[in-house]
Amino acid sequence: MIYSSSPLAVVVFLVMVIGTVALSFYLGAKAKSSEGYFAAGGEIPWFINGIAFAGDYLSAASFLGICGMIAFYGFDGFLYSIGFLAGWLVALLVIAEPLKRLGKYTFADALASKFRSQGIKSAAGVSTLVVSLVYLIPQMVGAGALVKPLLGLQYWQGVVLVGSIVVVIVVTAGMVSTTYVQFLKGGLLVLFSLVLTVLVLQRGLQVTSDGPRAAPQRVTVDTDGKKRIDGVLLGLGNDQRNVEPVGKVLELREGKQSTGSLGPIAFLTELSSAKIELSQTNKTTVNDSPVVEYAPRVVSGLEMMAPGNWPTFKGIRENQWYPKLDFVSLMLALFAGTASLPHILIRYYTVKDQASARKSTIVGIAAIGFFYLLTLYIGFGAMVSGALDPSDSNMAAPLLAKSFSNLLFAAVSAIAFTTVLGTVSGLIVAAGGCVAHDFVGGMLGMKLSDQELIRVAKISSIGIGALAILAGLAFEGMNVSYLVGWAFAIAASANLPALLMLLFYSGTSKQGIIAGVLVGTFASVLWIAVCPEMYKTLYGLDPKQAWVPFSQPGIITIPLSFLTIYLVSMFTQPESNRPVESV
Amino acid sequence: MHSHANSTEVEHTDVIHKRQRLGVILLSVFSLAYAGFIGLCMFAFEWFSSTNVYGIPLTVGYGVALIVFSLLVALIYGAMSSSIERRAVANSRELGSN
Repeated sequence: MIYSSSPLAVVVFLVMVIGTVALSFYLGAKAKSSEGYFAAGGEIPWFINGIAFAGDYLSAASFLGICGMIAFYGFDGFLYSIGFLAGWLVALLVIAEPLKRLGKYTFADALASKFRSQGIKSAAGVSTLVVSLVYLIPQMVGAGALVKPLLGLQYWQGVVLVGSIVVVIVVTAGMVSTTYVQFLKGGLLVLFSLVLTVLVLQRGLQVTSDGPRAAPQRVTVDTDGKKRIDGVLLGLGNDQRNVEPVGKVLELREGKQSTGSLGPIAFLTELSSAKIELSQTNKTTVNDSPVVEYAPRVVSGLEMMAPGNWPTFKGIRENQWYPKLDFVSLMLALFAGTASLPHILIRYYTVKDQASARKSTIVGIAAIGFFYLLTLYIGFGAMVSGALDPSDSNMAAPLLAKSFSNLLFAAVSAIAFTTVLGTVSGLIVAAGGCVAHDFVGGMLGMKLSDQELIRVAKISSIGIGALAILAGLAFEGMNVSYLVGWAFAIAASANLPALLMLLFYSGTSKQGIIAGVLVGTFASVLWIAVCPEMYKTLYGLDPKQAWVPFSQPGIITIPLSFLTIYLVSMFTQPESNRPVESV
Repeated sequence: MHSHANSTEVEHTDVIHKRQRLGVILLSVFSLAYAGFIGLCMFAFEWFSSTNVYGIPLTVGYGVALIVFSLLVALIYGAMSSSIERRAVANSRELGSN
């Protein structure tokens, strides 16, 4: 779909971005010490930190990816909401307090505390960098998708824009400013999601006056690269045509034409008995030229409230083991991954004590849980808004907002954009801190002053930002939630087994932890590199040729990491490796 | 007593163990509810998708209930942990005064 930029949207967007950067400059100037830069001096109030957790966590995957997936495939998107939130219980119940008690700046500090081991710090540093980079990819993809309708820019321009702004934010700021930006962003995101939900419920459901679509929309590409839709040039000009939006109600129960305003339960009840028209994308090649067809797909509301509509989850309805394992593997990764994400874990060092770490996690769970309940209504609301872009599921929430008003669209898009900015900043701060503390200070053993540590972190941030931009360009078009699933799988395989074994198995050795973190990291990355989804999406090859039978590695690599720690620990128990103190 | 070298916080091992045990118990309960949800999606798809509770498909009902249950578990853990810590402080004061 081609979008035209709206002056109002540009103004709101600029206000949000300039406000974010100004806040970063202002607060960043106050953080002079490395403790202030990396951990906000441990002085962030727990409530602020809790909402900042929501700001960090509710990334492009949550707002754009989940809402888009619910809008096109129904309940399958909500499975992500459930998995993403469930992971917070692991963080609260077994990770938050020990991590705060044992560490100072990074997750690696806590992991290495028992043995005072530089080897553990280096291994944890590797996993932090890998997870941060993989998690950055979907954020950049989300940014690229957002700027198209918001500013009328190309995808690559959006990716470069976000990468550049974030590097400016991170280089001029630190954890204090990142926290307050996340606090504002998290608060605004939940607030505007609530506004969208109220509007969706107020509008209720209406049967479309257009009737069902008779024929698919076909997008072809000329030899000179120009795109056509059903033979007419694609564009916004007078003699051009745009892709028509999809997502409308064809029938309501008892022959009603409109339901009027609905309550939260009545909305779901009415929707479950409605008949809805969505679209199905078919990609083919005719005379060596790509053809994309958006065919009408009529579904019942009840069907959309069942799992297995999304092609990737389709297998759970069948009697085949690999698709079912793929699904379980994803849900396991979401459950175990939250408590292993570097940008979430470093937030435990920004509060003063364990009780504050616990309280801020509970506030985070409340805000995030409430938001995920709202995704159900935003996603289903978008499904029947008549405003869906059949070519990009990630745009469902902003386009739903546009179906109400341009101002709301501008505000929601700008918030979504700052969501991406905030999450990317958090990830880059975590990765930059990891390079400074775990590699330069840890592995290389260089004794750096506070200012030198901060300088190393800032220089690293520029490099990591550049890598994120390149990765964002390579993964254009993939659903951001799916990409995030991989980051969770790597984090869960690399970090969680090591943390849990350290806390709950007294026989864990230094070598066991190093081996577990490295095996978890590289096994999951390798699995993803040779999985069917990568063959199909990135390499353009037949997914049946992939080396592994399903795409989500967690169910194999998480137990593998546990087993590695156990076995290596069993064979490496010399006297000198006895713990300095018990946990 | 236990603390990390860089941490300014010092806490009694008994409090840490009690809180850890509570966390593991609550996580086990929640994990069962979560695993039940995944199991129903995989192995009882037809029944799970076609059963309604108060007009809402059970899939959505169970999912929403899991989110609400998460918050409930978090609040229970918060309240009980605070209570464990308060009792420990009261006990140590009592011992100190004796």
